[in-house]
Amino acid sequence: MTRILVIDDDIELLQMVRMMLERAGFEVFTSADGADGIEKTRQLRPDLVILDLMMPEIDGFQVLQAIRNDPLVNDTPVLVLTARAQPVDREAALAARADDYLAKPVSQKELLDRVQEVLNRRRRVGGQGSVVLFLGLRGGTGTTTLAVNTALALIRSGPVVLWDASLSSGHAGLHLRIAPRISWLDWWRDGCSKENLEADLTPHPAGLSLFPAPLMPVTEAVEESLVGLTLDVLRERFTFVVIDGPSTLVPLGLVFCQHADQIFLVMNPEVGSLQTTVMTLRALQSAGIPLERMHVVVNHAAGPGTLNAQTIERALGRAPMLTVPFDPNQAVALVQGTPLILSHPNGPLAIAAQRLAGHILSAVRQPGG
Amino acid sequence: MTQPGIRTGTITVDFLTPTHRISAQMVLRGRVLGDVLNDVRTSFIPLETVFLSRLEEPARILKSFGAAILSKNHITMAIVNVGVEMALKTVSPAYGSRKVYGVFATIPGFEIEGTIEFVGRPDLHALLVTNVERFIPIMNAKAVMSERPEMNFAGELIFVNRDFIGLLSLSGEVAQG
Repeated sequence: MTRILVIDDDIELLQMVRMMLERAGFEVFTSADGADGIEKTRQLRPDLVILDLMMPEIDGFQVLQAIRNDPLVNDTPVLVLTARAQPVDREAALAARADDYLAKPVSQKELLDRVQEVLNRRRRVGGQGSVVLFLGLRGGTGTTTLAVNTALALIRSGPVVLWDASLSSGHAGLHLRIAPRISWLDWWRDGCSKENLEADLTPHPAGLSLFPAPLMPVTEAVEESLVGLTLDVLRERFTFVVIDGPSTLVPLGLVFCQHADQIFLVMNPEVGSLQTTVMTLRALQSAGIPLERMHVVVNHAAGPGTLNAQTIERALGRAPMLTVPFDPNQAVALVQGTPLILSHPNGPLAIAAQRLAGHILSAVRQPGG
Repeated sequence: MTQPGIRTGTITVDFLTPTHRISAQMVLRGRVLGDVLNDVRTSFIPLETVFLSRLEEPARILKSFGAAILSKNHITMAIVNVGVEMALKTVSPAYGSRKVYGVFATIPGFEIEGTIEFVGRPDLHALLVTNVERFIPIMNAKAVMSERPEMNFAGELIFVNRDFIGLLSLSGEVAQG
C-alpha cells in the first residue's frame, strides 16, 4: 500500500487530510512538527510526504532541505500544501526541490489528483514499469484486439503483463487462446499477496503474462483502492503494464485512468462511438486527467464506418493519434486464438500495433515522460 | 496553517509593511477583516501563528511566533486569497447603482491593479479624502514590486492603506458577467 506522511502543525487539518487520503486507500502517517516530521521521514521511508511550509520552530523549507540532504530519503517526493499562496511561495518551494505545490484550502479531489500526479511522475522517473491503458467505452471497438497486439509488440522492449480488467467476462484469454482458472479478482480476494501473484499470472508462449479477468461477470462491489496497490506490484515486475480497461468509468475505469501513464481511447468511425469518445474525453479532463496523456485511436474494426477523418477530427477538436485500417484477418485470428501480430506481422493491424508500441516507447524514453 | 472553515472565524492574511511580509491568522470574532482594519478605536491588530519574512526575500521565513500584534500604521496592504466573505461585508445589489471599475494605484515599492466598486458616480477625491475607511478594498488585485517587476503578490482581495497611496487612477467600467 502506498504510504504517505503528512507534516503539518495544524492537528485538525492533519485529521482532515488523513481522512481524505485513507478513504482513497492510502496508508497515512502524520506528524505535527518539523523535527518529528524529519525523523518520521527517515524511519518510515514514505512514498510521499505532504508538507506544510508554515510551522513553528522548524518550518517547511527547513524540513524540505533536511529531506533533500539525507541520502537515505532524498528522493522522497514532497508535495507542499500551504496557506502561503503567492507565486513567490510556489517558486521558492519548487526551487527548494519540492515536487509540487498546492495552496490551502484544498478539496479532496484536488488533493487526490495532485497526490496521484506526483506519485505517477516519480514512478516514471524512477524507472518502474509504465502503465498503458486501452479504453473503449462502447462495445465492438476492438479495444481488446489492440491491447493484446500492442502488449505483444512491446515484448521486445521488456517484460509485459496484460491486465484484462473487464468486469464482464474479459476476452483477452480468447485472443491468446488461454483458459485461465484464476483471475485478478481472486488475487484481490486472497489478500493481494506478492508471493501469490506468480500463480495468478498466466503465461503466453510468446512471452507475455496475462493477468486474467474473472470469467463470470462480476456481480459484487469491487474495491477501487486496490487498483493502485496492484499496479505498484505489477510495475515492480514488469516494464510495461498494459491494461485492457473495463467498459465503464465507474467503478474501476476512472481509477485506471488516474494511474495510467498513457491512455488510448479506442473508437469506431461511427456516430455513437464518436459521441462516447468526445464525452469521455471531457469527463476525464473534468476528473483532472491531463489531455496530453489521452490519445484517441480510430479503429476500423468492422469495415470503413460511416464517419470520415475530417468529421472525427472536427468533433474531437484534434486529430486522432492513429487510425487503424480494417484487417479482414482479425475474425479468424480471434477464432484461432492467435493474435495478428504473430500470424500476420506485416498486416495492417499488426503494423498499427507496432506503431502504438513505438509511441509508448518514445513517451517512456522522453525525460519525465 | 489552518484552512478557513476548519477553525471557524479565522482568516489567513498576508500583511505587507514597507519592509516585511507577515503571514498570519486573525480571529475575527464575528466581524469581517475590513471592519477590523478600519476600526478607528484601535491602532493594533492581534495576530496568531505569525510568520515573518523580509520583503526582499518574501518566501523565506525569517521568524515565526505563536502570537503578535501589528501596528495598522505600518500596513501597506492586507492580501486575502481565501475566505473573501470573511474579509468584506456582502452588499446587496442596489438596483444597478453599484458599478465596477478598473483601478491602478501606486504605493511606495508597489504598483497595484485590480477592480474597485462604486455606488453611484465614481469619485476618487471622496475615496481618498472624505471616505472614513482607511483601507480601500481592491478586488482581483495584483501588486507588482516596482524594483523587481518579476515579483508580485496577488489576491482575490487586497486592502490598500490609503495613507500610502501616491497615484490613484480609474479606468473604464468593467462589465460584470
